[in-house]
Formats: sequence, structure tokens, C-alpha cells
Amino acid sequence: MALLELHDVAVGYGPIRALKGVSISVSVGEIVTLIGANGAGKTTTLKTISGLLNPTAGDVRFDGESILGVPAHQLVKRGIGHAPEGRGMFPGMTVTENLEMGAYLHKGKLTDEFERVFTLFPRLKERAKQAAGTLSGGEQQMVAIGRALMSAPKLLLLDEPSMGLAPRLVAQIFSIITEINEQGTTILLVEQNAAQALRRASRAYILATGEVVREGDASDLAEDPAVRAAYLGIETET
Amino acid sequence: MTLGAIYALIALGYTLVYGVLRLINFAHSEVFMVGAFGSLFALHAIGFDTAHAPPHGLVLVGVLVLVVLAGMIASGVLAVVLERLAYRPLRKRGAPRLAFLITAIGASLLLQELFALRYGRNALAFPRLLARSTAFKIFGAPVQVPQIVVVASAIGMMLALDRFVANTKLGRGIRATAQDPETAQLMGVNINRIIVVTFILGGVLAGGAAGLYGIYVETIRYNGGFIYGIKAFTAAVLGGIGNVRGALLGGFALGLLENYGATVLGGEWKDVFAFTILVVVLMFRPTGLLGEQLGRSRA
Amino acid sequence: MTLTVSRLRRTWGRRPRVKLNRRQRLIGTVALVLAAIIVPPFLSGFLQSTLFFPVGVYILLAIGLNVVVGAAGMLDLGFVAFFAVGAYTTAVLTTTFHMDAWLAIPFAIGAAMIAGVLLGAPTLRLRGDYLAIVTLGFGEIVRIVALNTNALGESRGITDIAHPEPLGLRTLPYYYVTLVAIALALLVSVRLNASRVGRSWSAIREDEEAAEAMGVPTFKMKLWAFTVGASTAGLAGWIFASKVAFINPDNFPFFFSVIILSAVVLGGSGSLPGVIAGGFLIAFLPEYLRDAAAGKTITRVLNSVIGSNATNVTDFRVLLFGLSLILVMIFRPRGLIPADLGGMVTTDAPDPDDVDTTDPGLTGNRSMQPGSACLEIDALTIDFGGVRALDHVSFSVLTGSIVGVIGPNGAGKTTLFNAVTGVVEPTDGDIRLDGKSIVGRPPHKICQAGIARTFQNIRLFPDLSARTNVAVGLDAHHKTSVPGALGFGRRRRAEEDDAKVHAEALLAFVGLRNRGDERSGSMPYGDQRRLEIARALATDPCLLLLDEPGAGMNKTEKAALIMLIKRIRDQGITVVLIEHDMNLVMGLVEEVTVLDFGKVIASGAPAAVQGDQAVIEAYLGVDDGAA
Repeated sequence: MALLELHDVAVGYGPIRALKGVSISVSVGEIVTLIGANGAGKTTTLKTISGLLNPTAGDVRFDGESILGVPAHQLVKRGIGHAPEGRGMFPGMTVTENLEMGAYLHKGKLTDEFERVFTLFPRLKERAKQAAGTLSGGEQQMVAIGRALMSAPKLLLLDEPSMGLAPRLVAQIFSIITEINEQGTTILLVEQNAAQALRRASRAYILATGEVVREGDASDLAEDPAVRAAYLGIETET
Repeated sequence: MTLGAIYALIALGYTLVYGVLRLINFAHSEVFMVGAFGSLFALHAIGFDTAHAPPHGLVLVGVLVLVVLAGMIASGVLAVVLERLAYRPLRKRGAPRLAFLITAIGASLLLQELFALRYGRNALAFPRLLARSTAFKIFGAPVQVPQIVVVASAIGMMLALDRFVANTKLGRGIRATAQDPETAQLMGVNINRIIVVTFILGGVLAGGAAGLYGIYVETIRYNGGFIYGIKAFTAAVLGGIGNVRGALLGGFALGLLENYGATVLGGEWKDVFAFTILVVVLMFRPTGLLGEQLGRSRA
Repeated sequence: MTLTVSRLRRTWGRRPRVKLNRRQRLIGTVALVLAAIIVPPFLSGFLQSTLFFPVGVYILLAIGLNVVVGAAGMLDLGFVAFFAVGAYTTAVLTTTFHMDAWLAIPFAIGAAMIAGVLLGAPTLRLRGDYLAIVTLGFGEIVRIVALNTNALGESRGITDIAHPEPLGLRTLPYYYVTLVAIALALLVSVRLNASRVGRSWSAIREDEEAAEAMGVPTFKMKLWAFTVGASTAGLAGWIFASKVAFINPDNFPFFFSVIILSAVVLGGSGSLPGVIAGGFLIAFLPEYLRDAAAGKTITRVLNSVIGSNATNVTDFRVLLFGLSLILVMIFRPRGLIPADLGGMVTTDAPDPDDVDTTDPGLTGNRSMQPGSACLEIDALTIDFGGVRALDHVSFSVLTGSIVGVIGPNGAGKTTLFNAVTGVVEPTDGDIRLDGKSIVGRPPHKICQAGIARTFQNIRLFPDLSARTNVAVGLDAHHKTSVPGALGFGRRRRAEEDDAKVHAEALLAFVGLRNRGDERSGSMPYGDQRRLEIARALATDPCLLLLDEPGAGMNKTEKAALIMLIKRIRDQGITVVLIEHDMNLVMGLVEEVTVLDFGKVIASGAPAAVQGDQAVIEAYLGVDDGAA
């Protein structure tokens, strides 16, 4: 069953057309990845799904209903969690406060939610009282993902979780992403680290200049010579 | 020091709104002025006019609380009306920053004149509520009862704000919006609601300041907000606009500086002294004494 | 409420539908000027004096303030201070020193300009809102000084200021003097805007940091804007003081600054016709309504609404003024007559015959020898509040080569560019261009020394035309400043011709021939990238830094980009680029430096670097399938 569907979505910033009719779908329980170069429209796609941007054409359906025009803060309630590009820390807040922000609409105690996040990221428990702005990049990324999980979303949008992280941390983050998925959260993952993303995802879409240029099973795409050349940075024909 | 406390309370309104919206709410001085009128009318409503004898005991406490509350309500309501009618249409349209400033100036003039036309251009007197008796002396300087009341209440209000911003869910929402509005939305924060709350908070504090001002200065005029607004704004910038602790520091610092300037150079030069200090501070710390993050300071 | 507002906006909020052509505009302007000259003697004494003050003086002041706010984009809330300085200078000179009134003109203007420098020099580095409060404070300081200085008459003011002979007491001569002053102020504005100075101001208004990076001496130009604005106010002060013969501090309240600023913004900040209209409306409407029948009705209605008992509509003028400010800003946030593209600054297309599209006119590497080190980075270290963005980075770039800098996001690549261009100060280490250290120089000097750049997130001057964008770059080696731009000297003309012709040649070089008049911010993404390269080339660099030039381009565009970069190198320019697209990097560069966590982890020929295990791990992603 499709949890998320984009039909011919077009988005523009002023005269610049960032998305030119993008259609993708994500089924319950999947990890789907969106890969492509900088400026291809990956982040724009995620922002459109989470309601930060309004499409000029097309439809976005979540859980069977159109969510066009629903403001971002209400989509959280419906079950979309978004760990934005650049991690979106509230730098002056502590780790705990950042996580509490993730459950902003949640009423009552957050014991279970904290428990879940601290189990996934034991490191954050040690840093609970530290201001998020003083954390390392990897720790900030953990806060960003953990914070998005605090609202117990059905769909988790991750925007370049590996950005700027050391290789060891990248591997760790990706295995946690898989773990989150196995716990039942559907994931739409935007990545520049195409190799890792394709290995973790079940299906993939390749975006270029605002259009889907390839789609298919992640493993097929990972083996495709053209994809390997363009996005995995190997076997270039020089 | 007493005026410093009032500056600080008004400065908090500038700082809160600036922190969340990056907007100088120029009409905030009129929010303060309207609060003072609100306080005065509340006194009239319960039959206190200038001829009335000062109250005592519990009645006094009740009247003082009423004065401050009335100011808070009047200012808070006005602040929300301003946001709704003047700023929100601009925000929706993504108007240039200059347009916000001019709108704010327009609102400021409009409000001043409304009150001038309705209630005249002369100062209206508050009935005396607190006798000007000296409570004690610090280093030989007499400290009067009204001063104690004003400073103590102002500090009380600031502490309340401090707790509110630091510990409540709405307070967290305000800080989150100030630090990163887009991510705040992704967390489920309704930015529009946060903005309204911010205006209310700023308004209520200005109203509280106005009530205390009425008790202390005992007079209000249609343009009485102007100079206090300017001073409070200066205080906010001095401390680092957008920074709650900065507003407190800036307010008290400005109050003391003015006092010092008045003693050294004569009362007529105190404003020159204050503005010069501001320029000097900004030359060396271009974003004020404490910098400009609302969220970063956990005040 | 909101619904109605948005509907009303749709009808009113557009630009005027009547678009006059050049000839109609000329006829209209001439008619207005003639009317302004011929009609006043036939008007009533009251109207004559209204036309002098406030109308004429407001318009003059608004034109002056527009230089600061409209052209250079700085918010000044204390403009009346310069008006006061001009007026008081006139007053003191003609009373205490018995100077002839005419002779006082240069002193009034000069004093205001000095005041402009005194205020500007310490404060112009402040950002918008801080500058606003400081100017406001300055306005108050000037007023309070006048109020408390015995020599300035304290609150009594100064009386018996000399009338300039033979103007005497009547109003009309002063009206004509004001008219001449307005004409002069307009001439100054127009001359400056059509020169390097105006372009610099526009660039500062659009994006100060990018302007500085393109070689605009931003501080100096901002100070000039302040000074030019102040001089106009000083002249206005002289006119005012010599006519009314009596001034006191109450003539110069903060409210006055607000009114003038409102005139500028209401009319259309940056648009001279708008500013004139704004000044006229704000000054004239309240005076007009004083006696008009409409005024009486308004008075009655407002009295009943507010519950006041005003006798005259002037009692409501400030109220109506405030209300109209709000309404105009909501419905026409860019003013009644909004500025055209680029405000007042445009760069006309050159005669096509003058343009040699085959020669972009670049000097390239100048005296540097191919194979010598063009750029040397030596143990460069940069800390941002405890975070080490760059850690002892060393490498050098040979003259005439194309070098790539790659690395994961956040590795410090853009920080490296910012350090080389002087935007961030190194914590430690050295950066040398052609053997000379450039550390500590301001960005515009580094640009003039020969390092140009583009930005990761395109930073054109969006409201300026493509050609003007390039012309701003060309100005890095132009010399005309305010005095030169006001005069009619040969250098100014030569530089303006160069700006036009050379800009077109550069546009042609990057493939944007005949696109010069488009608004740069509205061009397609790929074109904006190329325009940004043209603008950087216009500063005539020996070293060009490109920050992700291929981002957002499709395959064809990227192929064209590779060709373009090679052609740039063939002009003798050394190129360093940050890029993510490995195809682009590998097909183009001779040498690659790989950054990770602020450190150089590899450098050398592309093929060698690609096989380096550390690089594969850091950048290409650890993946057995990929290795």
C-alpha cells in the first residue's frame, strides 16, 4: 500500500523551476532513496512533502489523502517526521530540549519516546544536558534523527544524514537507519552518498535538474553502469 | 535604576518580537502608552481620581495589582491587534523590510493621534497611590517606597518571563522559532500562533511597565510612549537585540548610565550621554553587549 | 479582513497599467517643470508659501535621503540632523559672524557633509537595524546639543538670520531657489547613478558581501552615500533658515526624519519620480485638506468616530498620515511609483559595432610565468568558535592550471575560498598570491589584486540587469568616484563606454550575447551560473575561484561549462574549482586536492587521487561494491 504518492509535482522558486513534474511513491515499510547531484531537487522534494513548500502543480497524497495546502506543523500530527538538511539544530537548546521539540504536539510524558531514542543513540543520553550547538556533526545528526522520531512518525524523511560525517560514523548512521526501518518506520532517504543509500534502500529514484531520470530496485540501479559512472563516482570514461 | 527597570520591561517586547520575526516593532512605544492609559482608566473606573486619598493596607495592594493588570490587558490586546491588522498582511505578502518599518511608524502615529484627539494633548495625572516616603538609604542616597515597588515588581515580571521562555512548551516553541523557524515548523510548531504569543508577551510586559510607570511617574500623555520606546529600544540594542538577558542588562545599564550622565554633565545631557555610549558599544561589539540570539541565552 | 485585503491588493497592488513611452514621459516631465516655473506667481500667498515649505523643502530632503535609503539601501532614521546642521550653520554664520547669506551656502553644505562623515565613519560597519537606531540617536543628539548650547540659543533658537539679498521677505524667490536646488539635487542623483558610484550603491543594496567580493569598496561608497545625502540636507537647511529667519530646536524633531523617510518609501524607494511624488503628497495633502470641503466632511466623520471635537482637518493630519502609511504599505509595499528594474541604475546596450565578441579583453596572468606558483596556501588554519574548519591546509596552484578541490560537504572547501578572498580571517598560516601575502587585506582589495570568485548559492545582484551585474565587476578597475562622476571629465565617459562595450563582450564570452537587459534574478538557473562567471571575469582576475559551478546543471549544460572553463584558462587565467560532480572534475582538472574534516588527505593527478584508499573512504563512500 502506498503511504506517500507524488503525482507530477512541480515547484518553483520565483522564475526558477526546481521540480518539473516529479512522481514518486513510497509503500508502507520501505526504505526509498532519492539520489542525484546538488541542485537536482532532492531537498525541494522533501520540503514539498513536509509542507514547507507549496507545489505549483500536481498532487501529494499521504496515507490516502491529499495533503496539498496542509501547513507543515499539521503534517507532523498526521505522521510525517523530517530531519532536515544541515540537521536544523536549535543550537541554544540542550539535547533534551531539542528532543522535546520533536514531540511538540505530544501531550503527556515522553518516557517511551526518550527511551526509544536513547536506545538507538546511547551517545545522546550522555550529552542530554549539553547545548546542541556544541555537539559534533555526528552527534547533531543523531539529535536530528532522534528528534524526528519523537513524534513517532509513520514516514521519516531524512535529508542527507551522512553529510559531513566521518566514514565510520556514516556506516553507523546508515545501520541505525536500517534499524529504525525494521522497527516499522517507513523511510524516504535523500543522499549524496549514493553507494550507501542504494545498499540500504529497497527502491530508488534518481533526480536530475528537477526530474526523475531513473527509478527502480536499488540493487539494479547500483549495478547499472551509467548510474555507477554518474553517481557512484567510479569507472569514469576519461 | 527605577527607570532602568521600566526600560528593561519595554525592551523585552522589542527583543522578543525581533528575536522571532527580525522585525523592529516601532509601534511598541504606543503599546506601552496605551497600557498606561488602560491603567489610568481602570483607576477611574473604580472611583480613584486625583482628589482621592491614597489607599492603605490590602486595598492599596489590590489597587496596585489592578493598575498593573489593566495595563497588561490593554497593551496585550493592542499588540495582538497590531500584529493581525498591520503586520500579518505584510508578512503574507513577503513585503520588503522597509515596508514593515514604515507600517510600524504609521501605526505608531495613528495610535498617538487617536489618543491625542480623544483625550487631549495635555498630560493626564494619575492619583497618588504610594507616598513618596524614604524607605532607607543606600550610600546616603534615599530610596523611596515607589522605587522599591517598581523595581521589585519589574524583577518579578522578568523572572516570570524567564521561567516561561525557559520551561514551558510555548516558551520552547518561541525559542525554536527564533533559532530556526523552518525546522520549528517541522516539529509541529504553528509559527503564526507563536508570533501572536510573542506579541502578547511583549505587550503584557510593556503594559506591566506602563502600570508601574503610572504608579511611579504619576502622569501620562498621548506621546508619552515615544521617549520610553526609544530608550527601551536603545536598551535592547545595547544589550543585543533578540537576546532576553541582553534586554535586562541593557535596560538597567541604560538607566544607570543616564543617571551617571545626568550627575556628571547635567540632566539635559543625559540622552546625549546614553546615545554616545550606545555608539561606542556598537563600534566594539556590533551586535550589542551579549550578542543577538534569543534562544542561545537560556534566559 | 485578510480576504478583502488580498482581493483589494489584486486590483490595486499591481504596477500602473498605463505604461508611458519615452516621448510621453518626456512631454509629461517638461509640462510639469514648466508648470512648476510658471504657475506659482499666480497662486494665492498661502499656496505659494505651502509650495515653498513644506512641499519644496520636503521634496529636496526626500531626494537627498533617497541616496542613502533608495540607492545604497541604508536605513537612516535621523536624517533631519543634517538639515539642522545646515540651518544652524547658516544661522550662526549670518548672525554671530555677520557673514553674507549667499556666502554661507558652501559652509552649510560643508558642515552637513562633515556631520555625515562624523556619523558614518564609526557606524557604517553596523548592520541595518543597528544603523537605524544609531542614526536615530544621532538625530536626537544634534537636537539636544542645539537645545542646550548657549551659542545656539538653547530653546530660544536663533533669530534675525540674514535673508540673502535681494530675495528679502517674500516667499516666491525662495520657492524658485528651492526649485533650482531640487534640479541640482536631481542632477547629482542622475549623474551619480549613471556611473560607477551608482552601480556600487545598487550592488551594496542588493548584496553587500557579494559587492565587496566583486571589488566594490563598500565602506567608502557607503560613506559617500551618507555624505551626498547630507549635503542635500545641508542645502535644504540653508534655504529654510534664510527664509524663515528664525529657527529653534523644535523645527527638527525626530518626527521630521520619519516624515522624510515616509516620503521616500511611500513614493517608491529608489525611484526619483516616486520620491518627488512622495514628498509632494506628504507635504501637500494635509495643507490642502485644511480648507477644502472634503476636509470638512472628513473632520465631521472622524469626530463622530473617535469622539473628538476637532474643528479642522489639520487636527487629523498626523492620524490620517499614519493611517495612509499603513494602507499604502499593505497595498503597495514598494511604493506608489515603484522603482524600475535596478532602481535608478541601468546600463544601456552598446552599439553592436563597438563590441568585439571574440575578445573578452582579459589580461589573464599578467607577468606571472606559467609553471610558477600563482596561489600558495601555507599551513592555513581557521577556527570558528572552537570548531576547526581548516587545519594546516597547504597546497599550491600553478599559474595557468585548472585545479579541483573536492571533499564531502562540510569538509571546509567553501571556508577555504572565503579565506582566500578575505571574507574570513585565518587563525593561522599564510595565503600568497604570486608570492605576496594577501592575509588581512579586505575582500575588495584582494579582488582588485586579481582573485575573483563565484558563490555556491549564486549571489548575483538579482534586481539589476545582467549587463549591470557584469559592469559592477568591471568597476573593480575603474576609478571614478563621486567628484569624477559629477564632473564631465574624460575618464568618466571612457569608463562608462568601457562598462557598456566590455560587458557585452564578456556576456558574449559566456554565451549570453544580447541577454544583457534581462533581470538577472529572473534568468534560468544555468544562465545565472554563467552570468556569475562573467561578472567574476569582469574584475579581470588572474585567479578564478568557482564554487560548485556545475550544481543544478544538466549534462549538456555541464559539457558547455567544461568548454567554458577551458576557454577561460586559455585566456591565461588560473582556475580553482570546488565541485561534486566527479565526471566534471576528472574531465577538466590537472590536479586535485581532497579535503576532509579541514585537512588535506590527498592531492595529485585525478587518476591517482581516485585510486587513493583514504579518498575512497572519505568521499566516494566505503562500499565494497564500489571500490
